[in-house]
Amino acid sequence: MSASRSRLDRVFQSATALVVVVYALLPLGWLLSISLKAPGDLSDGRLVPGRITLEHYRAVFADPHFPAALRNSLGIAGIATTLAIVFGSLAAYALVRLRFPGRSLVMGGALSIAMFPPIAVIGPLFDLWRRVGLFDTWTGLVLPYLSFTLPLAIWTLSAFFRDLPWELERAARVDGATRLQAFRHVIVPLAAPGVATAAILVFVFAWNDFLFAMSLTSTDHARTVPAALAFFTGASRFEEPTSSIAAASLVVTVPVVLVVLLFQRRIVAGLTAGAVKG
Amino acid sequence: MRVPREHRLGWLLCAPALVSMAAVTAYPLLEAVRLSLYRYDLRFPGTRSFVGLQNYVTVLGSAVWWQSVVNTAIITVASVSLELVLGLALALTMHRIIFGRRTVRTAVLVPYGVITVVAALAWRFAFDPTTGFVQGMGVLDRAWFDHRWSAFAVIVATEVWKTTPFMALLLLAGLALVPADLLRAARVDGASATQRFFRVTLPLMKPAVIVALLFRTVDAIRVFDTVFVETRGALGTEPVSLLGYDTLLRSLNLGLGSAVSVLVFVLVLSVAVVFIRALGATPAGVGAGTR
Amino acid sequence: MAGIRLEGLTKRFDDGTVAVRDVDLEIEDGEFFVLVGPSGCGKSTLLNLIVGLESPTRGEVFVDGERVTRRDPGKRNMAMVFQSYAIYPHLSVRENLAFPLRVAGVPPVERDHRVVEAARALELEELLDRRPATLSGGQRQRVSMGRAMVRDPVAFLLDEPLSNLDARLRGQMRTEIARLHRRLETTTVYVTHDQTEALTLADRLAILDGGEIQQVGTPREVYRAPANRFVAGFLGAPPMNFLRGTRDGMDLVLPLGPMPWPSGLPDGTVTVDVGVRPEDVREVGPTEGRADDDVFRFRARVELVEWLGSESYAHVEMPRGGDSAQRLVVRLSPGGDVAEDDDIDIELARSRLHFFDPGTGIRLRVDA
Repeated sequence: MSASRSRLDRVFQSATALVVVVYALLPLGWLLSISLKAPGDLSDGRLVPGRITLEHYRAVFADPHFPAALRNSLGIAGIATTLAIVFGSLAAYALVRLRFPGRSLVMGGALSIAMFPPIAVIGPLFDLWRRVGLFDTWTGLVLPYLSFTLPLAIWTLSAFFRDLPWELERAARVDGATRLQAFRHVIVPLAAPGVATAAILVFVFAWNDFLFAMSLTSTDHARTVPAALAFFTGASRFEEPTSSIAAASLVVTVPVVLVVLLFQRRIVAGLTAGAVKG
Repeated sequence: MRVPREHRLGWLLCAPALVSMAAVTAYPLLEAVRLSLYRYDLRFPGTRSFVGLQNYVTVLGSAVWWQSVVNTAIITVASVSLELVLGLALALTMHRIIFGRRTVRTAVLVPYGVITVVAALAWRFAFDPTTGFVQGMGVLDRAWFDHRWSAFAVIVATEVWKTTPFMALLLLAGLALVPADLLRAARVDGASATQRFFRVTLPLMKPAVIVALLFRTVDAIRVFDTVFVETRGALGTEPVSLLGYDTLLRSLNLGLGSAVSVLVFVLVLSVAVVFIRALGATPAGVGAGTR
Repeated sequence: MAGIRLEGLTKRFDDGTVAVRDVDLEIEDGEFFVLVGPSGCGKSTLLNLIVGLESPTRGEVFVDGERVTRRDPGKRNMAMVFQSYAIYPHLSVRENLAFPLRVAGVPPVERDHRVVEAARALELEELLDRRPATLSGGQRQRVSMGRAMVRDPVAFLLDEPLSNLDARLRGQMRTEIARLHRRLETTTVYVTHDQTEALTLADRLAILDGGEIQQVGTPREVYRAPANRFVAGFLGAPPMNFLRGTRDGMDLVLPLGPMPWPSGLPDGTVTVDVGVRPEDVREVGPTEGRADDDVFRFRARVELVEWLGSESYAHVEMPRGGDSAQRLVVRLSPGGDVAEDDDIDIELARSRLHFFDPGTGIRLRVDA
């Protein structure tokens, strides 16, 4: 390959990379621009703000709803993730290591739920939760999140578990360790990365939910971030909270995006786990 | 009958997960079916009565329902086809790029980490005349949210932006399954790059493509967040999920709303069955990351 | 059919590794030429350079006198058979065989004709409508070869085609390949790491190590007169024995014992590596006499006997071996009853010894 051809290639590839980066960051850029605009400039139609102000960010942090929504989101998604990982690990272990009839039932069930339209259960849940007192509570959201994230958790964990060198457990036991010791000292460290990845995937899923949050909450008690953001939109058209919404959106998005980017390789592996084996 | 220890242990370990999944899906679904057979308006709880399939007749005879089915179809077809083409292009790029590979693979995950509602807000603000950036950009300068088709365009654009990367990742995994030796053999056999793509790469990617299509189509049918935030269903853009939501939680009509919900479930199920039976999708053992 | 000529071919990869270094080779029209060497020696890279899947950093490739170095692989009219067979799994056997012809735009009638012809030559007729997934390894290999044949190329390039087959099948396919070559008479370049395949199939072969050609010649030439220690040790199974010999006055002292210092070695040589193949070490009965100037007799203790049915080998300790664990491998007569811990008499004929420079490994000539 002659030098000039390879240089042309390099330029072309770098340009392509740039296009993809712009594609990914464009909407975030829009939000940034809006969040930094002074109130009067909001409609000036400029992508790059003429003057910059941080007042919207200050407003966001001063607003009582915002930290409440954050708290709710973190707590609910966190609890749902923990439970999903625990239940999911047990099931994944069984699916990968044991033979029992109905394995395909579990896999099939998980698959069906992944394709389930949540709208189909919103009604009964709304009705039931109100009667049972779970409406607008953390538990009221944790339960459906748990359900709907379990397929994802089971899938990802199964794929990772399948790849673990289980013979090491046996080797450890031959070396004198008990079953529990072998599990704790050999399997757990090896499984940790896979479990962490599954946890991230599940957390992002729960963090992202909107429909359940909108339907099953009504106050700061349990309203999560996506619902809070959208609710802003509906209420006060008069004061144009657009910039505050944009600021809040960014504040909520940037940490998650950073975490996702940090664990990029693992996440890609988890998202496509099984697709390659299938 | 002695149940082997292994069987028992297997069931035991799966039990918590199974119970959780069933509790919040199977049971409510049955409840939804039950509720759909009643006339049940939460604003007038006393008038609750069994009406059999009457609700279904109402829904299926309603222009609003069919309108929302069409809306859903428009969004689904438009976004899935765009995602397929763009996703394929993106997957090929990620596969072959060397300079900037890590940058691309990282950038591609940003839409995944962004909450759908946030993405919808961003796109809405950008194209809304009072906050947006499209004034003076020639053909882009129009009141997007004043007309049905332009509103659809923004909705579809948002959906495509958010999920093309995921589609690309699934397709990339499928690309990785094409053995390098096969492409080399095709090169030696005299096939040009285009011929190699259409005769070797694409056919071998078919299973991955079909599974990706299955997941994305089912996802697209369930579209809710984007439309809610961008148009609130106005201008004839309301998809079935939003219709169900409004009927259930705005009109508080649990009977009709449940009928809509069950019909949506049937819709999704039929699509999935078509994919699995007719097109031979093999999702078992495939990655599950959806939005 | 055409001759292939390589001039100064060098391939350096982006990470700095030089896979092929300055290779000059002339392959005759119609020849079955084998590139053999251990893994990583550059033979596959060399093949890829010939077919055009890789471009050389330096050097030229000529086919039938024409310079093809920069030409696309599809335009060189060569056919390649891969180690992994590289059969299209989504096409039937028939469609696989027809693929190159379809791509080239050959009209359907002629296409079918050539497909059937190739299928017949490889006994694939009954499998034409089957899918590759339903075929055995050997059948897939034949499909791979069939696809190469239909194109009627100027040369066949085979990259370790038999490595994925079990031993028995490998032997069968080897014979078939040889038979096919006799029939088609197309120039063939064959890459393998298996020296048995190389010796049995080649008209001529080139041994490679570290990207460089060590020796080129007919199987007999390279086996009998290896150019250096590497070639000597690579060809032949069991491999050649190497003994370090030092000069002591008029003697060459081996771990086996002393023998007269061979004349003809460069002056000043103090150490030399002596090679002898197991089959060139003769076991003699105690009553046989014959010791003469060119035959040296030693006594050694048997440590291990390997009996293989048609052959038998003894690993013997050498009397002057010291603490070394080195054993001499000796071919025994299969009918004999040599056992472990026996002392046996062995004979080396000077004419059967190979001498190598201990530093460079190059073969040293001695007076006959």
